[in-house]
Amino acid sequence: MVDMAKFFLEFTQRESCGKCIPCREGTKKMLDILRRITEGKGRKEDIDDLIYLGTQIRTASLCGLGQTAPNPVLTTIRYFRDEYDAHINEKRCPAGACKDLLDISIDQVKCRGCAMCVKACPAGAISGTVKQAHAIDRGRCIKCGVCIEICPFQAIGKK
Amino acid sequence: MANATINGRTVTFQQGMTILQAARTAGIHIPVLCEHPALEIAGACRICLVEVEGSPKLMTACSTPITDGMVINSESDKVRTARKAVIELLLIRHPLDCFSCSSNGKCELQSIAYDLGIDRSPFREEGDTCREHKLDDGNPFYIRDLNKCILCGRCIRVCDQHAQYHAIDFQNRGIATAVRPPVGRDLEHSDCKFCGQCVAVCPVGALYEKPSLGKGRPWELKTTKTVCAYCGVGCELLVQVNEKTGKIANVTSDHTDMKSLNKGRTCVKGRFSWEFVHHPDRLKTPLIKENGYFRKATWDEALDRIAKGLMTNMGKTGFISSARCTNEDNYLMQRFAREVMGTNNVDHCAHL
Repeated sequence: MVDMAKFFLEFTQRESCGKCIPCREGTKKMLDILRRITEGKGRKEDIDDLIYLGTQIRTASLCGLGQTAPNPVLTTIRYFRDEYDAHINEKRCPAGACKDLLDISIDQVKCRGCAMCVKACPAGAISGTVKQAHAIDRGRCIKCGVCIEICPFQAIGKK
Repeated sequence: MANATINGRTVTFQQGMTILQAARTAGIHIPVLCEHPALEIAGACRICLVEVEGSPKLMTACSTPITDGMVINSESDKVRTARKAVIELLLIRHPLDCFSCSSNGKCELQSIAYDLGIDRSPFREEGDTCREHKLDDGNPFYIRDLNKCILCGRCIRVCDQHAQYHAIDFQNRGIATAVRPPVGRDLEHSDCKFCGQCVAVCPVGALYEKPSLGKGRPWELKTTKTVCAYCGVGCELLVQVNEKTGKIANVTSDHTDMKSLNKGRTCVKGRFSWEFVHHPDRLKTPLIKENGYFRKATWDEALDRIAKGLMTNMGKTGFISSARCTNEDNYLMQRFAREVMGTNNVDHCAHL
């Protein structure tokens, strides 16, 4: 939901004409905050700031774009606040949509060591010998999810 | 005439007035940034939002016509919160170097923020301050600091509606919006004639006069209304003298003065070319040429010399008048030349 709100705000911020201050400056700041949250750098006060900014941008903007731009953020906060909290407090994305908060790992029990994921990984982040459980180098992993799709034993998952 | 209520006070207004005009007539202050009495309405800055009874949305006082029986509140909690939020948003990117800013003390953004008790935006983070524009000081008349620009559009409107040069406009959009001359051209190669009317209406420190730099703070200046001495048109100027140094620190004009001939419009010379006033080489007395050299003389002596010279050279003298004189003065001089001096050799130095 946070990622979706960010998607909508990216659109409205791009479409903002720049004439009125609330829409021009406000959507930029809201997007900055959302980006920060989805990168795992969210702060405690961010949700309250988003609600305050969103409400005031809706009240003060000149046209329909600015008056509705904060809606996706405000409604997702209202109905999915726990997702925002998870992003900010636990640095976790419950929907698995925010790449920066994603952690892909190999289940050491399920993995049979077929090495298909080793060949498929575009970043060369998976290592291991055949018939032995493999491991992912988190530093090199780009979280593309190719390994998850290719694994015949469903041994790779994201959290 | 009709009546409406603003902040609990009954105000009388003329049909066709906006809420802001009616409030101003009644002495009620509503802050504005993009609005200027001499310019067409833009409705862009959203500072003048007011609450109108019966309307779910806040309305801009500058663009909403006032109607009979309207109940308006410009100081309610909702209005003040929205106004505060707009200023907080504006101050996210606006550089806060008021200490060194030429507009410190006359900046309209600064005074609105002061009235609302805002010293900085709570949403401002490191790196937010606008530093992307290079200082544009390529001309000798005024400096453009687009980093401080709040995009109110007053400069564009005064250039379109008063100066009518149409030299600048908004470029790009959204957060990248900037006021510039046509794409690919700098100000010196645009239609700008450097009349400086944009400088006079800028509410912040984005446009400021180059000759005035370092010559005095706005609160040290005493403003005197005077007539421009450059040509015969007779534009009214506001000359600002620094009371500490006793010297001119700035020249500007008043676009709201409807009684003046120029209504705030000036040319580049009237507004920016005033430094000659205090120049050490400036002539302060008449000079008489004797033995190939000029010597200082009094006006009585000089006028006597002219009168004698004219009387002994009747019909043999040519006359050159100045573009600095009024049309009436020039007319009188040519009649004097033709009718009294009996010569048709009359010319005029049309360059200033």
